Amino acid sequence: SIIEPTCKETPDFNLCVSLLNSDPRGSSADTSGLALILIDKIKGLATKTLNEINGLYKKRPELKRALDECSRRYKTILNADVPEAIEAISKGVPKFGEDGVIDAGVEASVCQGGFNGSSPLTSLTKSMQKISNVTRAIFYSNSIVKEEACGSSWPSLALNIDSKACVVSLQNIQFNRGRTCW
Amino acid sequence: AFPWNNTILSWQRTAFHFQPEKNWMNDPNGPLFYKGWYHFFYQYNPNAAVWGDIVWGHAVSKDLIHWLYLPIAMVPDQWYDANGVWTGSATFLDDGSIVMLYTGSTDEFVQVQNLAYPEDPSDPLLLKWVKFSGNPVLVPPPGIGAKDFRDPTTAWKTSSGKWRITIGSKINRTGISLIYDTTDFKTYEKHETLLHQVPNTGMWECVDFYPVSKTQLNGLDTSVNGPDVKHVIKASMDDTRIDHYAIGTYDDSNATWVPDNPSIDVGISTGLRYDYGKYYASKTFYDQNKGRRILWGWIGESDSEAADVQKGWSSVQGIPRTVVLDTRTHKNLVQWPVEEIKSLRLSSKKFDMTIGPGTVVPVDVGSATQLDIEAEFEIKTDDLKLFFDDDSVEADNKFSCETNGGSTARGALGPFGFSVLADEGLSEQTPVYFYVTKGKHSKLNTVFCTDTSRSTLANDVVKPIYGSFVPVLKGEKLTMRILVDHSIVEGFAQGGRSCITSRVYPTKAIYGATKLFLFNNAIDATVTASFTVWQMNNAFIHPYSSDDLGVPSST
Repeated sequence: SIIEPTCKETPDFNLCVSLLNSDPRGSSADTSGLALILIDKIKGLATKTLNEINGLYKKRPELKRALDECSRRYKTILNADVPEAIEAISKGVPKFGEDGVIDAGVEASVCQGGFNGSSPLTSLTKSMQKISNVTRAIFYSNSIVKEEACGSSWPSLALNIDSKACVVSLQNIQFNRGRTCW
Repeated sequence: AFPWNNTILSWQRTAFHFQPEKNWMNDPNGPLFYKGWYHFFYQYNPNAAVWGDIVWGHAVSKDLIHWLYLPIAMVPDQWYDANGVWTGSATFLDDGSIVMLYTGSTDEFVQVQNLAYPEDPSDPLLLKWVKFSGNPVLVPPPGIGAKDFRDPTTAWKTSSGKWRITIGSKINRTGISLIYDTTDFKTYEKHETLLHQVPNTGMWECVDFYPVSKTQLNGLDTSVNGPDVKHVIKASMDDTRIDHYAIGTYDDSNATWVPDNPSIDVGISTGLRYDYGKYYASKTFYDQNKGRRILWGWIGESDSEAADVQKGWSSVQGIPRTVVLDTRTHKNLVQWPVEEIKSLRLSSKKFDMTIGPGTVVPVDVGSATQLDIEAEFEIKTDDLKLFFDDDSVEADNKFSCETNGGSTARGALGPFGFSVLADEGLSEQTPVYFYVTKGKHSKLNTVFCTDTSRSTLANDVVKPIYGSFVPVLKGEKLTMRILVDHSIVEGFAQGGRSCITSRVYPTKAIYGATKLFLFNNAIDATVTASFTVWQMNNAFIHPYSSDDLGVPSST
């Protein structure tokens, strides 16, 4: 498993390892897979926080204004940040995933700031900031799109490759489409 | 936290920059001039104000300023682009027809290059695009990652009459540009060698490669080569999101390029950048209409995605810039807003002001949300002489805008410049300024900066201090130009040797409350500023109708 070496590159090794080990996919995931697991955790935490916010409307009606802002911010995490990050990582353009992940931390902080120091969501906010930071660090581990390079392992008929030119024709590509490597 | 409301957010929409009606935009794609129209394609998410579901948006213009939105040009409808119709470039063939090469993300997330062309070459609007039946035309070659192979360039001619393109990639941490030759854009020969590579720069995206004249001020067609020509490689650094370029010499026979100065090679952090602010995934094209090379660049947002979702859009394009080699320094490019932008200039006011150390003065121009400012600065000669004769002042070659405290950190000879998008009480302001220090051998060392750290009271916004060294030659005054358009500020120093684009989101300095100030925060220097400020009109940017085009609006 690459969990431990990857988590060493993040600001919170223990949190990183515990989050990733709690997911059955963790042990066999590549870096992109690990990032996707952590984004799932962001999604889960945002859902949990949003439920908490909904409950607070009744318990603390005086906080309505701040709760409205929080609600909007956490909905952004769920409806914008998370899907953007998942799509970006799946498609191999992690910088857009990084945008979503960083933004999740920003939105949580903004929500927190709205309570003027007496937030009922402090521990949830901190959790979101931590997961955001850990996930972000995984983007910087420089291996998130380290896909298996397509090279000598390809069957020779998959692509007509000679040492000087790589001539590609349609038939070969169609033939090769079902392969894992590209 | 700042409670963004719709009044504040609506003000952020620009008035004379290209942006879609709504939702997300990123890279400029396939810009070209055809049958009287400038065409602009762009990476576009039709469904949301964040990145995703990418298609090719399309717009046309007669002058690069006023735009008509056209229907989406290409969508993911084939297995070879099922996960996105990504960035590409246009090439004019010898018979004047257009081919477009673009990256598709396949149904299995592999990055491949595809060929498309206009369905009807007689349609000046190029509304319909046909994808070649034999797509993809290129797949990741051996040794290249399936997700590290994107953004083909415009093709240029080799001396043997073939077409040549380059595509950015990486091998481990080395950024590379692969080279392919073709005659028909359907089959390609890959060179074993690379156009160029630079270790430790990571993935190169959106590589651009073009000639610039050593002697002429006009632009050059991408295929031009010869003794009077230098070649520029630009690559967008995936790791840092910075567009770096370098100037060098291209060898047609072995398809390689060598930088003039290896210490500032492509992607080296101390090397050259198109823009020292927010500017990425840029692309040039040769404008055969006016004989110039024009640069487009994507300017993203610096605010939160919640704000983007609330305002319903994200990103603008910078004002297109002409690009030429600096024929005085020969070491950098010069970028300047296209001349057509002047057509938006309304009333102007001219000012000559002398301001002493530690002074901020309002510049009375009325509303200050849409401005074009051209300014010259001179430091009083006696102050300069005193400074340079004072041996206790040590040479400061390490000064940087980012680390030296921004516009409030006072030095002997700076900072001085303009505070744009400021409110009356200066609780919000974006200073664009020069800072002059003593360099080696008692020469002036000038930096050009934009400080967004006090641009807004909101705290869910990224507020960097941007800047860079800018060459100032003997006998030259310090000059700057600033384009202000709501949430975007574009600064150009010394005729465009150094450029800084920033996005700012004021909460008080908006609408009628937006002011312009001139300031001099130097400790020892009196500065004379001669400048003109133009109010800028709105550009006409809206969906097309048959009336606009003088042709039937199809279907």
